[in-house]
Amino acid sequence: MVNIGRLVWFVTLSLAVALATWGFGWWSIVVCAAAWTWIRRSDAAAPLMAAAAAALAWGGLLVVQSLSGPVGRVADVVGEAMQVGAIPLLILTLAFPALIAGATAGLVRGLPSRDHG
Amino acid sequence: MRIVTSLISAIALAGVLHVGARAVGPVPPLGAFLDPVSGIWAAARVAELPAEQTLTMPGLSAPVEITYDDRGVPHIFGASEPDVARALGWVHARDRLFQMEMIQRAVAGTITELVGERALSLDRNARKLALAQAAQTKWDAIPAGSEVRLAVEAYMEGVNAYIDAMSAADLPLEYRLLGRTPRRFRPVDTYYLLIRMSQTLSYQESELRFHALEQLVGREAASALIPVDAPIQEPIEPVPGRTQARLAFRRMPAPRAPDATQVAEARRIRDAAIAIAAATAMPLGTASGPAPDLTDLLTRGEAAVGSNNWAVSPARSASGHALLAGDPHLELTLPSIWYEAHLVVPGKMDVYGVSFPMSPIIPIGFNRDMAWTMTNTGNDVVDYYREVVDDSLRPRRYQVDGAWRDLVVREERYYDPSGKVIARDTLLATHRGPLFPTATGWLSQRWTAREVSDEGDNFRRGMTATGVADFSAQMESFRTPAQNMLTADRAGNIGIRSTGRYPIRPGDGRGDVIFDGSRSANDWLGDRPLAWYPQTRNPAQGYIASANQQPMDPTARAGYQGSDWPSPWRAMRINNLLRANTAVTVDDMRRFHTDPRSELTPFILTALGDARAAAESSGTWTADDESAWAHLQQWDGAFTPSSSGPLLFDALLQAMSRHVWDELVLPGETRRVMTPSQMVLVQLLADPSSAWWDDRTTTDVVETRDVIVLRALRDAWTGTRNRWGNDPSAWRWGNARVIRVHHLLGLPGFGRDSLEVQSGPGTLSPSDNGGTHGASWRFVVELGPEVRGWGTYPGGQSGNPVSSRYADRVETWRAGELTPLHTPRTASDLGPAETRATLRMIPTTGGTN
Repeated sequence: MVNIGRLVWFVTLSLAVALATWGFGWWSIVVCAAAWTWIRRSDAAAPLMAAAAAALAWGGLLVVQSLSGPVGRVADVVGEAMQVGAIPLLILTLAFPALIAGATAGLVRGLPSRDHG
Repeated sequence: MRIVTSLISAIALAGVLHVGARAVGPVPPLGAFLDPVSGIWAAARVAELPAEQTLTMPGLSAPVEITYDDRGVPHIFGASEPDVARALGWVHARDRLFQMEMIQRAVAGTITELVGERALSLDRNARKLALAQAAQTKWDAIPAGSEVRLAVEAYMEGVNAYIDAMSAADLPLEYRLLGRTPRRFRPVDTYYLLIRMSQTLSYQESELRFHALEQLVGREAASALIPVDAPIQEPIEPVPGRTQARLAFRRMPAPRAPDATQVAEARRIRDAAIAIAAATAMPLGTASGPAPDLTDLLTRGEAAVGSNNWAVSPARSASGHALLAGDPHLELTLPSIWYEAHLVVPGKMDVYGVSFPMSPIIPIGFNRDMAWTMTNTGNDVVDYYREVVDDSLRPRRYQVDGAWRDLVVREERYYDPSGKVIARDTLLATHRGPLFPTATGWLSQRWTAREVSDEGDNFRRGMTATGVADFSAQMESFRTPAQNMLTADRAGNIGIRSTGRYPIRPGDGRGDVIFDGSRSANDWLGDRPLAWYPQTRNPAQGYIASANQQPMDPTARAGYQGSDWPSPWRAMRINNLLRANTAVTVDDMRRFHTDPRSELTPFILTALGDARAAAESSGTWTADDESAWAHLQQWDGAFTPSSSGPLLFDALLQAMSRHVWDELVLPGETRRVMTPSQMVLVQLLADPSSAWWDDRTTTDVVETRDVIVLRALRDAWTGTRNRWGNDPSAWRWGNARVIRVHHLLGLPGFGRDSLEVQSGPGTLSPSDNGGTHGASWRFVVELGPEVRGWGTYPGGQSGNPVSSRYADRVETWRAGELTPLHTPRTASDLGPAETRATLRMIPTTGGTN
């Protein structure tokens, strides 16, 4: 059964990452994921959720880009130029924010909180 | 457990942030690179032109209206020439920014700063030739306030205005892949481009090849291999009364057998020639790929590169109007070297054609009165001087007329993308030009392109010429690279002149030798007068053609023009097509561009027929020989992709070269010092018992032409079957001969490979196994009451590989088709169906000039 509360938090992070990337750039993923995890630090699945939400955010931004131009063609051309192929390039584009968000969440969850201090 | 998790997370985060922010090896910083908003994916968002756009442009005197037509061509309407130039600069930068920087860096010798050490040899060669210094000299000599200076300055301000205002999404993909950002441009960069064209078209080292050959086979024989006068004369300047090419075949002096000293000297000079040839032969695409085999540069024989142009007078055209066609052949790249544009200043200028990104000029095109196009003349404009220096290892002075002069010393540093110095050179120059250390001593080089001239202004004035005579007058001071400038106008005139600098040399006037640099008397004495240039206007024959052949028959007007001319097959073919047609149409002109036949073919097949007759009479003709012969007999002579005959013919041609020119292979090597042109081979075919036919490796027998031709046929037949299978009906020329339009950086996926085209040795659209060169622009103009044009090039207007305008013309070009060119008189003349986008540039308040 879907935990509505978790879903809301997940969507919130995803939207935050998307907006922050749009407004400030890729590095803002760290800030979003850190803040979100601090709030959700009791959730053991926070790193996984943060990673998935960040990937979803960048995936969503790619969809938005595709409304104004040939994103698939970018994947083909750049993937071939980098000699990795289109699909791996797309996967890398989703894995990159996931890794940042997941690792940030993992780090923040490990920080001692005031409850324990 | 939490600590361990945190530690792992911290390490992972540090790692991913590191690759996000910093380049790792060839991988750019991934954060900015993959960012879906402003990274590579943004290339999708800026791939197409916005349908309507308005922007402010500093420096404009009045608004500029730009309409992009359905072919992506900008029609720029402005109130003044500087305004139009400024807008063109902005437009070029939007579509071709990375290409512009590559051109600039190729001349400056700073590509290593973009791609690292792999471009070092390219940069070193550019700096050795002092290209940037030459461009600066030319720019500095242009008077302040002159029209050309104002146009160039406005153009570069337009380029920089685009760079200053561009968003992160606008950054071209190449910059993203390299992890770099564009730099601003300077007006002198236009002259970098012009000298780059001189380098491509007029730089040569045939003196060194001649000298190497001289050591190997003797002076007389070498002179026959690299002739000053072509053995087949089909000049640009028509000879009255002549209706076909003149065969000026001479008996070729026998090659002498060199001694060990001469072989060693030939080897040294050959190596020097390779080193100097590399300066021009390395395409930009090698900047990121493996270096080419430089020995092959000299060995592979006649380059399968050639530009054509021809014009027909009203008396011989179906419409009764003059017609003009041209197809300059260059290295084929994506983005293309050309960018189509239409520039209009009401009442002053209305010119359409192809421009070079990085310049405000249209060197090939047409206006409302006339059309013009060019082929390369190939006259000798580079000379070499053997210098006497004070120190053979680290010279600082050189001797002229017994007195020592100081060498000009230039210290050069090469940087990698991080700013680290990766190499240093100390470069030297005499009053003649750069001084090169070679295995055979110190050679200085003089080249017309390095001296003061302003072709930018010639081109600029040519754009507004009112007719053939006016264009000719505007080009009188044009110096480099010498061009066969073909023109036609609405009054029905056609004309051509091989315009450029022809130096006068001491002695017998020849420049294909290495001069003694210790004597000032060996320097150039001046230039040929304009009246001497090969030229004609409205000849009685009613047509004119040029295709890089020797421009003037020496029997018509004597004087050294150069040596080592390309074979005249293309010129002969164009002239034959035009002679046979007294009502030429625009579509005929279009078809001629990719005509599949070569005037070389009959010479080779006739020689093969003679060899067959000789073999039959001596009883050595075999069933296999007959099969090969029959295969060539069934061939219609057309080099079409679906044909099988060209495969065997081409193999035969190559085998003949291999067997005939064995004297030009250095002992212990497998490749020739150089390969003479095909017309020299054809000349030799007329002398069946020449000593050149003898194969030196067979000491017990003296071969003749028929023996060698038969041997070549057998080699070709065996080799072709081994390569393409035993069933000749399954052979396809298109599998062997394709065009490769590569990206400037050689990036996979950014180029277009394996384009099957109608081309072969000596056809109007020649190609070789490399397939990297070809017709960079094809166009036809009809000079009727309303001038109309058709054209295409193998690329597209956009430099963005994701854009639909990146390579949209490649298939049209491959098929030999042309598309009509729009020439609206006002910005609103194009209908909605013909309009892709509009752009309005308005002056920044208070920013008029």
